[in-house]
Amino acid sequence: MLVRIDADSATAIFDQVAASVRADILSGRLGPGDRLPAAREVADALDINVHTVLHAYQQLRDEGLVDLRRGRGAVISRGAAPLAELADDVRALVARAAALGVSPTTLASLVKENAP
Amino acid sequence: MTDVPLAADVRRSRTGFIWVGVVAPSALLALAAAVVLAWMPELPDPIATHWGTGGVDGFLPRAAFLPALLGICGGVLLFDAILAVVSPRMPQSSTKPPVRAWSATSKLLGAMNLGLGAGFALLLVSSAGIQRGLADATDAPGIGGWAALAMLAMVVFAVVGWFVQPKSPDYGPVVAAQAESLPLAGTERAAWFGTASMARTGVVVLLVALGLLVLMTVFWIARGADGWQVLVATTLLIAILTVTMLVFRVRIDRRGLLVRSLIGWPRTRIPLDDIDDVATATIDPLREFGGWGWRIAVDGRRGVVLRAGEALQVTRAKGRVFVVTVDGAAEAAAVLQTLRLGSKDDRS
Repeated sequence: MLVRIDADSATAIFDQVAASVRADILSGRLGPGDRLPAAREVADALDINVHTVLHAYQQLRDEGLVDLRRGRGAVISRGAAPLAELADDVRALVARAAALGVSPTTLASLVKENAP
Repeated sequence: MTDVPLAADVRRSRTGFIWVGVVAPSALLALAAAVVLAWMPELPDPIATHWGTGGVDGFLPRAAFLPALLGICGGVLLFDAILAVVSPRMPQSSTKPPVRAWSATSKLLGAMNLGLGAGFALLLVSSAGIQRGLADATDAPGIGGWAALAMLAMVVFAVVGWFVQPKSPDYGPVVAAQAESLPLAGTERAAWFGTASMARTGVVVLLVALGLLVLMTVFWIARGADGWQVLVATTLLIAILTVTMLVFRVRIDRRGLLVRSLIGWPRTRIPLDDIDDVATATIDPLREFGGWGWRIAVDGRRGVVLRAGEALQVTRAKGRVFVVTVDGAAEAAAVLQTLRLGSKDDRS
């Protein structure tokens, strides 16, 4: 699992950690049943606060992508499986938006507004 | 698992192995058993089975003599044979097909089997032979000469067994691919986490070996023979070592590479500035490393080898090469390479 964070980015660190996990689910590198590294390990490796990593894991749980269980840590949930199937569609949509000059932020809000 | 046909040279090696490592030692043991069976009425009951410094010190009921000795030797022969025949069918990972290869390690197992069969057959016949006509097994003469001869037979037959088998197929040098690097902005930090876990075949082999050892220990304790404490300690040590080898966590960050067993030991840490080269390699555990676990290869490479297939390979500043068979090795190599080059730029 690759985690990348940029301290100078406008995006919150916890959001960047969550995005890294999401990207690995999307690419199929992480699948249901795979265990995420302990929050303490991630925090230590990236020199960030443990609570930041836990915050990211909790957000992923709220999205239904991760199960958090006491003693077992964070495990990719079965609900994450459809994400890998969407990967190609997402990539195509982002490419099409870029070709039309629509920024990712605009595209994201368009997707959000379209949600039922 | 799809069954890929074996290459002709692998099939020839396997046929050679079956004759040398299975048929021949079994035949030798059967011959020895037939001789002992013919002598059975003349042998004392109980019969001497173990000689210490002060003469005979271990006995078995006469009826149990043959089954016990054949069982021990047969078990070892069978274990070696299964290991050799099954290893070329090992899947590399869940996505890649098995490596169809025959290794020098398998050939060695065949040679050892022949030596073991010959030595054991000689021991069986000689230990029974010197007790023929005795009423009480405690009167049995020493067996030192015969034991030395059996040891010699073991070595000679093993050497013969090695040369009788066909040459193992040649696979050429190790394939290692240079790591790519990752586009990383100057202010970005990256860390990579992975897991290396033992292939199922490796787990089965380890557990069977451990099971045999436990059986032997129980047998030893039940007989009340001296020195069982040593055996129990050895069995415990091997059990603990086995558990440490099952799962390793791999972590790559700004400090370097950390490979650590799930229970914390053994662990290897390689700092970024101690790394000379990062690559991915394809690994065959039995052929290159002689097995699974924390390993040192014939060519001097060492590391955590838990399954066949892709591995992260790191060359240290002093030329020592470390490998770990982690899933996603290509990505791991790219991250490590990027961090290494980044930290170099910072210093210059």
